[in-house]
Amino acid sequence: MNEGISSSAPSVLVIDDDPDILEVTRFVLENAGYRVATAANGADALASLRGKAKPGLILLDLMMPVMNGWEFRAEQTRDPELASVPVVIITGAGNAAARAAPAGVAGLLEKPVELDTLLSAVGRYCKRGRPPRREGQP
Amino acid sequence: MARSLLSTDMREADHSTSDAAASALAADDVQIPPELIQKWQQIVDLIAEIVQVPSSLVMKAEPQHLAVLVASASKGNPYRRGEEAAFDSGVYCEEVMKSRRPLLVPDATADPVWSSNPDLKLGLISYLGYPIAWPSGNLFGTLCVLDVKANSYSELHRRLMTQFLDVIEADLRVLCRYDARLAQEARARLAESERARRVLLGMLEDLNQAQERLQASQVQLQEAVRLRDEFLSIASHELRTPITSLQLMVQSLTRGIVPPSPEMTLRTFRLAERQIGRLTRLIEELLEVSRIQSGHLALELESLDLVLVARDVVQRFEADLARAGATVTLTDAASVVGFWDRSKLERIVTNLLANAMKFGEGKPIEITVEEVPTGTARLVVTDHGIGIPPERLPCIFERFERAVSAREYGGLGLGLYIVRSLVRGLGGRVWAESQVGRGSTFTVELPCSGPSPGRHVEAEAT
Repeated sequence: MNEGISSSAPSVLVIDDDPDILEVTRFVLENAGYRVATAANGADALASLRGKAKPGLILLDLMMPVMNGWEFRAEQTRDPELASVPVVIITGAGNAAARAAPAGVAGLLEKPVELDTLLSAVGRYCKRGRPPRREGQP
Repeated sequence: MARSLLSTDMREADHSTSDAAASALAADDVQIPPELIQKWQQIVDLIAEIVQVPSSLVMKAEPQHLAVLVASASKGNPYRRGEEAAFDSGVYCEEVMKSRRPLLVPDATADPVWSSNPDLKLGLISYLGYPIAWPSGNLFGTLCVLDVKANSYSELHRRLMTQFLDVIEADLRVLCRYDARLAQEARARLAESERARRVLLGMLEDLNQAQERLQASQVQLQEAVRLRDEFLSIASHELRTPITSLQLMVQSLTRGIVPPSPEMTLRTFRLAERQIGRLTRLIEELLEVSRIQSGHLALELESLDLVLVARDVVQRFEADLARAGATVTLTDAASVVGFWDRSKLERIVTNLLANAMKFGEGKPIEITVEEVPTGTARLVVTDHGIGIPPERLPCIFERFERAVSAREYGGLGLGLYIVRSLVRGLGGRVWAESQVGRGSTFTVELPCSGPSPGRHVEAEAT
């Protein structure tokens, strides 16, 4: 494994239109030792993915302006460069949207997602860039 | 069945004298029913027997020929029922038909005029015949006797013949009246069946319309269910998102992922405050809709200045406006005072301004507050954003309706519904004008005197 590429690539790409969600998710995951990139919608996400080093996991919201989660997923699976990146859906839309979630995703988490659930989902697909910050522990 | 009634009808008709109109209507080509043929058969048989001749006939004048309608069954009669003779063949009956007068030929052999008469060739050398008329006066045919010997036919025989002639003509009169009545009945039945057909067609039409309405309401129902499902999933998303931020932040502190520090605490509190604010607004909105639907707006009316309320609301939006890069120009009168409910009034202005920001594409927003001469306050909110397609314009004030996809623009889609309900509750009206790509203008008019007494917001069906 090439350490150079690995260190420049984000561990996780979070796609959500809610700035607070992006802020909190980035904060939590960075503190858990992951490199985090964010995008406010599917179109921004595609732009940040193409031709760049790929993240280990994409966390995808469904209801977003410009390009929503379903549209992003359709674009992603059509693109051989991106198709293999695992996607975990994080949705607050309830049962109806969960039933209508895009096929072939690695997982589906319902908002409000528990911290442990989020961390274990990310841990399954991503290596930590550095050990988690756990100050105050022996 | 009609035929079996014939004898009864004929007797009835015999007594009837006021059926002239019906008989005048009757056509001369009425079919002679078998019952009459039978009766007339008995007549000619009787005549042949009484007059002691081989042949007594009822001939009928057809358009092209003469036909034997009834021939006596007497011995030696050369004629049979159904036989025909061409006109100009020279038979005796032809002469009667042409002249329309009775004819007596005592001995045809004595008169050269009959030399080529086919009757004569059959040996029938004497003849007595009477024309039979339809009730209309037109010629029906003849009643006649023929004999193989010279015969002058006695006075008694002639009276017998005329009596039977009367009987036959009476039969024809009855027949014609009966036929006219049948025709009338048939027309009546036809008219009745036509009416029935129209009624059925009308019912069919009603049925089709009912079915169309049913299908339309099914479509509406499906649409309502779809809108409700969409609303539920949006409401769920809008409520769960801020809770998610709160939960992750709080859990990361309590699990020790993030070391506690004054900086972290401040950051967490600010984020928590924002999420609580979002949740509060959402819950307010849902409660407002719930109050509207229960029909209890519970207005707290007081004297208020709409200008001040509008300024307040715009001020509260300053941070949001800055983030959206939009400006608001407020053009107002010195004061527009009316008798209103403060929280409802604020809600109306807030929702319209939030709407203008959301769909205004960051372009300038204009708000005007004025009092139109009629004691009516007018609030106009104009944006220069995406606008509303004409076909969506009529339904933007409906519950859950929105002119654009919910996935493109956040929010519960209840803002304008709340605006309309509150405006109505205050006795006013609200409408929108819009051009796609050029923006929308929402106008609210409220009576300054407040809602008229006794006015209640109607509970809307859920």
